[in-house]
Amino acid sequence: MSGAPSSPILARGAVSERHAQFLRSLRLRQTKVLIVQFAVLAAFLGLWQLAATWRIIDPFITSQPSAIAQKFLELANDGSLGYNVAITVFETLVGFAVGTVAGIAIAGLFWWWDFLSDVADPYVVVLNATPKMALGPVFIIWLGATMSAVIALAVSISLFVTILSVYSAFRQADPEKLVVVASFGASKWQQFSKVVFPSAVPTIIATLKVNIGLSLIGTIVGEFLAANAGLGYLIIYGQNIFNMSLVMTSVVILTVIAGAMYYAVSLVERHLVPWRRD
Amino acid sequence: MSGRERIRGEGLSYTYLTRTGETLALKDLDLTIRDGEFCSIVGPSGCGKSTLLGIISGLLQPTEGQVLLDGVTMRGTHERVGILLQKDHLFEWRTVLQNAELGLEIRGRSNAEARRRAHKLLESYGLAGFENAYPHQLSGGMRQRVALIRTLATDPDVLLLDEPFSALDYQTKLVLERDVHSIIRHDRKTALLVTHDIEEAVSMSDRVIVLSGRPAQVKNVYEIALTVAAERTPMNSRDAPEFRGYCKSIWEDLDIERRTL
Repeated sequence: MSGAPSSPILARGAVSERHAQFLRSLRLRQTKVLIVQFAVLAAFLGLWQLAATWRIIDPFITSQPSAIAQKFLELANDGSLGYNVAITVFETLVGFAVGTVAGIAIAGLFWWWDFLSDVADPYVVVLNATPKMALGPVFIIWLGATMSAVIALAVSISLFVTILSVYSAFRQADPEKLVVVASFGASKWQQFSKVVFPSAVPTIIATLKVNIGLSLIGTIVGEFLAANAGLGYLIIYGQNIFNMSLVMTSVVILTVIAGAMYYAVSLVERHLVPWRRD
Repeated sequence: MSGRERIRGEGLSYTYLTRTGETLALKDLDLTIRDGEFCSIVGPSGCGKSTLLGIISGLLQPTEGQVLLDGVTMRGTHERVGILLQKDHLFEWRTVLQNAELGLEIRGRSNAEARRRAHKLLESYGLAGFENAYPHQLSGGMRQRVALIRTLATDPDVLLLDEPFSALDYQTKLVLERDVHSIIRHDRKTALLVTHDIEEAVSMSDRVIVLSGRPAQVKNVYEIALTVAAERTPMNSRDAPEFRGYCKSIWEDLDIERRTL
């Protein structure tokens, strides 16, 4: 026992003084990690700013944090920040939702009717291996330089990988669990809804995490090719007028959006998979 | 033991077909299970015991022959026949109570009455307070108990037990054997146990059917008559003077030593 104020109330969740000490050391470590993480970011931004100010690097080529912050405020004030972010987020979410839902539905169809799956197998594998970016011009010719073309590209990029991974998870459902439900006289739909689908939930969550990133890639590339709004458009526009600050600001915003979307999916995971021990 | 006939298998044959060929697992096998009887099937490993149980449960269709339940040919599984497998196969995404209710749910009987039943069963088998726990939080014995309750909740008259105790440690196994035995006796259910454990078969059963190696055929049938002081429980049965004799005869029937050498 040290001379520390031994309050009768122990730290949050502690069951004894020793346990409290253990918890404190865990929290201390967590705080340290956080502090260093911030320090790394601050040092990076600081060095970048200084190097640009002292002309060690050319801010015309690299931009600099102060210019990015200024550009950010400028975009926020004239309303184009909100507008372009909304466009990109909308396209990404629609592409993500359609690609994921359609992918899971097709995987379910393959599970239900394995003849179809055997027939479709080489096509899905080849389409999955095809670089979807190459389809961008195809979608633009079919759908015009519109939001639909951008969304189509976002869908195509997540669809096939979803089909493959979710279908494989459906097939890996424990056959003995299927025997259990069969012994209670389960219909095929009950086999799917009680065993096959729930077994695949962890895989589906992992797929969601991958897909949100893939859809964002599809959307940005789509906007590079065919849009007049969205962050991808801002980046290309910034490149064309050689405004590095506009490009960098858009990239930073994009990074934040990607992080936020990934975090949102993680929250969904915690909600959907409560049986996972942590 | 002269109850009426509950299950009859007539001329049962089963052939597994694969790309590389076919395997005859059962050949022209007849058997009868009487009402209220506890019957065990023992046989050398890989002889087709589990296949036989699969056929009796209706999960497998025999290649030839038929299974009659109370004189009616079975087609597919039957509500009055419950099955307990070697492993518990609890669904890790469901709580204990939700696992216990699985059968009722599938049978479309998951009403308030059924829920109360599942609840009561959990309580009477030492799982009170664990209703909302997830399977990974339970011990092996508790998990197998939940699996048993899942089967019992649908209130089957016939219980098919496919080596349900073999994955448990010795102590847990004895306790669970005792529980299953008393449930079956108490509720006058009919039980068919498939096992490779001779002592388990003799201690629990009224009758033991010994199968030959693949393709399985009935080699011998023992009516188990044990002299026990008090109630006949699997534990007491092991102390009966006749116990060793039955075990020894069955061991000789199985001819395990000659097979493995």
